[in-house]
Amino acid sequence: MNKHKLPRKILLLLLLAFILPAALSVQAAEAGPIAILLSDSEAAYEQQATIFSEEVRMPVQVFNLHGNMAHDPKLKKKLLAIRPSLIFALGAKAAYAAKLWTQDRQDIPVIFAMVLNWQRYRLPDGSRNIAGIAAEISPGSQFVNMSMLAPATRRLGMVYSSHSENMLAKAREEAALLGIELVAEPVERSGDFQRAFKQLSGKVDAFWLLNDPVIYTLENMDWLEERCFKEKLLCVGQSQNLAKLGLALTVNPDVAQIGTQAAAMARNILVHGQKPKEIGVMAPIGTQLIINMRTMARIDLPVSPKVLDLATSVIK
Amino acid sequence: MPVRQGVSTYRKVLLVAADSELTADKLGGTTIAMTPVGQAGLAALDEAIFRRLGHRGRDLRFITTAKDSDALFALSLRQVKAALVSQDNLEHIGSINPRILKTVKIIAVSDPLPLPVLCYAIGAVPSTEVERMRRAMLAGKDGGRSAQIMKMLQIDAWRTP
Repeated sequence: MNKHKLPRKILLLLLLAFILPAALSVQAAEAGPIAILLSDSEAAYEQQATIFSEEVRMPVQVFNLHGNMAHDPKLKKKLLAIRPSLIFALGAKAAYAAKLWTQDRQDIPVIFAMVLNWQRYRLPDGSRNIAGIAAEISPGSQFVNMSMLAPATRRLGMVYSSHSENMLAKAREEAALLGIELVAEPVERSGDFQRAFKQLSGKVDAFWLLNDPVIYTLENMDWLEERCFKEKLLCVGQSQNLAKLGLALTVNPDVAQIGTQAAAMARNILVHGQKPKEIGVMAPIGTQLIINMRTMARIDLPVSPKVLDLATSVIK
Repeated sequence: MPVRQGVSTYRKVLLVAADSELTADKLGGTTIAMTPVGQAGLAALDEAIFRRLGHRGRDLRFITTAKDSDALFALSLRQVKAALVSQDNLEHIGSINPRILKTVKIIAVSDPLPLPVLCYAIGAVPSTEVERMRRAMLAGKDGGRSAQIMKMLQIDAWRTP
């Protein structure tokens, strides 16, 4: 009896080995369109949904949470009924809903985007079907763009609070890749910013301003602008408005590129079989450089015309 | 047709991180950053580089970027494993900050690819519009806005085929 059992088991395993991939490919072939799940009817989400739809070159169907997961209790059922090949979730609520709805459907890949501070929602934790694009540009992208404007920068100063502590290691690592040393001063309160900045004085070639709620106060920004002029220091920020207010350079994500990047990720998953877990959460790759030429002149930093070719916008 | 340094062609270079052990024949399963080329462009890249390396563009994984600089920077920061950028743009960026060039290495260079041509679909655009575009784009290096566009695209002159 036992003599026959082993070959049967092997035969069964072989059958499974052949049948299972075939069954999976049939399942893939039968998968429906890509579901685009919007958190709300905001123009920013709708713009990304449009770009994604144009770039992905696959059928899509749009669903909308209208700002509340309870708005349409049947939305989950409706979305899953189309047998989505992938869910592209825009905004925190959509990303959270997509994670929740696919907890027992890990075969449906999810890509999220436009989620501010995505770490807070623990989206990839415990799921193997989730990839995403961070809303925030990586520190390295800011450093590399800054280094085009000031290639001689070797030591970059920054002030941070406990809110930004988690990204410090990554920032140091990415700065090191570019041969830049990050000199960081911690603060506990907004009022400590000016003292911490003065500690860096004379020790750094440029200053990197974080989007840190403790540091980012109107009073600190006004003071910083004047101080950058006074010390003739290249100060770099992350919001377009800061360049308009007088900061020499800002580097921010090219929002129009996020839908394109998500579409490429979706094709890599659906066409080339890349696993969402393998992709993880990518930084937004597209950047916008805004250079304030008035400030550059005031801090006596010449700007090569070649650099201006790289700028998205130049304030004269 | 645009002319750059006497020719109407350019080359693309395939880059990996300076310390990467990735070789051109192992590109399958790697994400490559590059500017969008479309289906026809991908076929041209097959001829110019991928086939020689044992690949087909349609089987490779890409992340598209709006600018070559974004693709190059993503590679410098190890956000992708490889990047395909124009050799001219690589040299342009390297001339601004030579340190960037030290973060990457070239593993393959494409055959010459035609520079994108300036054209229009007959009947799709009114002749006045064609004339306006022709004046704006082909005014040459003394043409104000045209000079600006040419400089940005690193075009030295135009020639009619």
